[in-house]
Amino acid sequence: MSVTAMQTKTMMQTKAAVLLEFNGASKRYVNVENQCVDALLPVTAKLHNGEFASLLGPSGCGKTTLLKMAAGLLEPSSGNITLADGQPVKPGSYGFVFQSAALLPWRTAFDNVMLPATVLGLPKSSSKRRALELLEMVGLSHALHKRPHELSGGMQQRVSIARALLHDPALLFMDEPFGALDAMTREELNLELQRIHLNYAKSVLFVTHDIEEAVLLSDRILVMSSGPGRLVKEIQVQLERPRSLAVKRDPEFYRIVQEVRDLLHRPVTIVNRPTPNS
Amino acid sequence: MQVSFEESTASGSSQVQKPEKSHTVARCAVFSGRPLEYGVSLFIAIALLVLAEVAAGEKWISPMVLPKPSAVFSVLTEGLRDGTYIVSIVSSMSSLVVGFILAFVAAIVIAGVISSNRFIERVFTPYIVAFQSMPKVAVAPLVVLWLGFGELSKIMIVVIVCFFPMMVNTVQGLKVRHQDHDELMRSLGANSWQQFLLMRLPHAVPYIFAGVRIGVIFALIGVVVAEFVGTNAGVGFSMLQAKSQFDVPSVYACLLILMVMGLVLNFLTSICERRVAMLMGESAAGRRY
Repeated sequence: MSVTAMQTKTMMQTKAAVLLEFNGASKRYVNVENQCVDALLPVTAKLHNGEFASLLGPSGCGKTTLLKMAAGLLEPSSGNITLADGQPVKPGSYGFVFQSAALLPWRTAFDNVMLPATVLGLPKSSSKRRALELLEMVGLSHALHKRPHELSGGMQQRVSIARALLHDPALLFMDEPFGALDAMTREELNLELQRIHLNYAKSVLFVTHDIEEAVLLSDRILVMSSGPGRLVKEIQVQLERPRSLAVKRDPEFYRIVQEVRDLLHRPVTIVNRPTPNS
Repeated sequence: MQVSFEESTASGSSQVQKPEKSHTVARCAVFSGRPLEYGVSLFIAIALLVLAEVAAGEKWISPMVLPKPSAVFSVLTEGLRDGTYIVSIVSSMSSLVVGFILAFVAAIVIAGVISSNRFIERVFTPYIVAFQSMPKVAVAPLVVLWLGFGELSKIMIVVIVCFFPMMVNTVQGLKVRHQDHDELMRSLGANSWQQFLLMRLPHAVPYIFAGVRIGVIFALIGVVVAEFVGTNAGVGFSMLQAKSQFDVPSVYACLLILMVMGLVLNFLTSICERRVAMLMGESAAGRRY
C-alpha cells in the first residue's frame, strides 16, 4: 500500500463510523470475605470502524476484563457494550486471539485454523482454501501438518492469528497476544499484525502492557490504571502508516511514549506508610 | 575418578579419547542394564520350575497342591491341539470383548450426560458412590437368575463390572476446565454439543484411558466370575470342570491361559494408548497441553 493511501486512511478515520460503544460498562465481583470489589469502574469509549485501538495499563487494571466483556465472554455488572445497531457483539462474528495461543493440541496447525469453519458450519472447500492462504500469509506453509507442540511460541501465535481471521471477521479482539514471546519475535509479529490490519481493513481492540508496542501499533490508546481499574485517558497516535521499527526513533513516537509513561507512573500518595521497627 | 584424571592429564588429544569413553559407557550398559535383569528373571523362573518338578516328582508336596510342571505343560499343549482350550478361550474372549465395548460406549455416553449438567451430576452422585462401593462381582448370581445360563449373562456381568471405573474416570476428565479453550469455543459461538465433541472429550482422553486400563482387567475378572457362577463354556468353566474331577494340572493350565489373556489385553491397551496419545498431539516426552 502506498503512503498516500495510508494518509487518506488516517484522515478518514477521524470521521469513520462508530463500530463498538462502551456505555458505562463496569465490573465488580464479590470476594471471599463477601465484600464488593470494583475490578473496573464504568468505562465509556468508542471504537471506530477500521481503527486499531489499544487497552494499555498495568496488570490488575481490568483491561482483559474490559476486552472479554466486549467479546461477550464476561457479563458487565452495569452498563453495556454494543455495536452501532445497539446489539451486543455476537459470538462467532469476531476473531479472538488469546495470550496463550490456545491451540487444540490434537489438531495440526491447519486443522486448528479450520476450527471456526467447523464450529460455524462454513463451506468446506472455500474455508480450506482460505486457511491455506492465511497460513501462507503468516509464513507457515511449511508447517501445515505440525502439531502445536512441534511449533515455537511465535509460530503458535501466528497459527492462532490465522485462526482468528478464518471466518473473515470485521473485528479482532487480542488479549496480550505477544506477551509471552521474546522481544525479537514480538517486534516481528507486531509488524505482521500491522500488515494484517492494513491489508484486511480489520478493526482491532488490542490489550497490552507494553507502552512501545501500543504506540507502534495503535491509532488510539486507551490508557488504564489499576486500584480500582479505570480508564484514565485516550491518546491519539497520528504517526504515518505503515510504520516500521524505525518509527521508534521518531520524536513524536518518543513524546507519546513519555506521555503514556507519565500517566502510568503518576506519583502515588501513600496512605499507610509502614514505620520501620526499632 | 583416577582414570578420568589420568585421561585428562595424559595429553590434549581429547578427540581421540571421546569415542573410547562412550564405548566404555555403552559396554557397561549391556552388562548392568536390562539384559542382565531379564536374564536373572528367566533364571529364577527356570529354577522354580525345576524345583517344582523335583518336589512334585519326589512327592515332597501333595500332587493336589502342586502338579508336575511337565504334566501341566502336556495338558496345556494337548488341550490346545485338540481345540478344547481354543473353544474356551474364544468363548471367554468374545463375551469379554462384547461386554467391554458395550460398557465403554455406555460409560462415555453416561459420563457425557452426567458432566453436562450440575443438577444431573448432583442427583446421580450418591447412586454412583453407592454402586461403586458395592463389589460388582457379587451381582453375578442375580444376573444369572435374570438372564439364565449362557452368553448373555456373561456379557451382562462383564458390562456391570467394568462400566464403573471407566465411567467415573471419564466424568473426571470431562469436568477438567481448560479456561482458554473454553473461552475460545464460546468466542466462536460453539453450542454445548460442539464444545463436548471438539474440546471436552478430546481433553478427557488421558482420563478415559486410565479408566480403560482398569476396565480391561475388571472385564477379565468379570468373565471368570461369570463362568464360575453360571455358564457352560469358557476358560473359567473349564477350570471349574477340572476342579470337580480333581484334575489339578488342568486347573493350573487354565490359570496359565488366564494369565496370558491378561497380558495380551494389557499389551493391546498399551498399544492403543500410545497410538491415541500420538494422535492427540502428545510429544515423545509425554508433554501434554
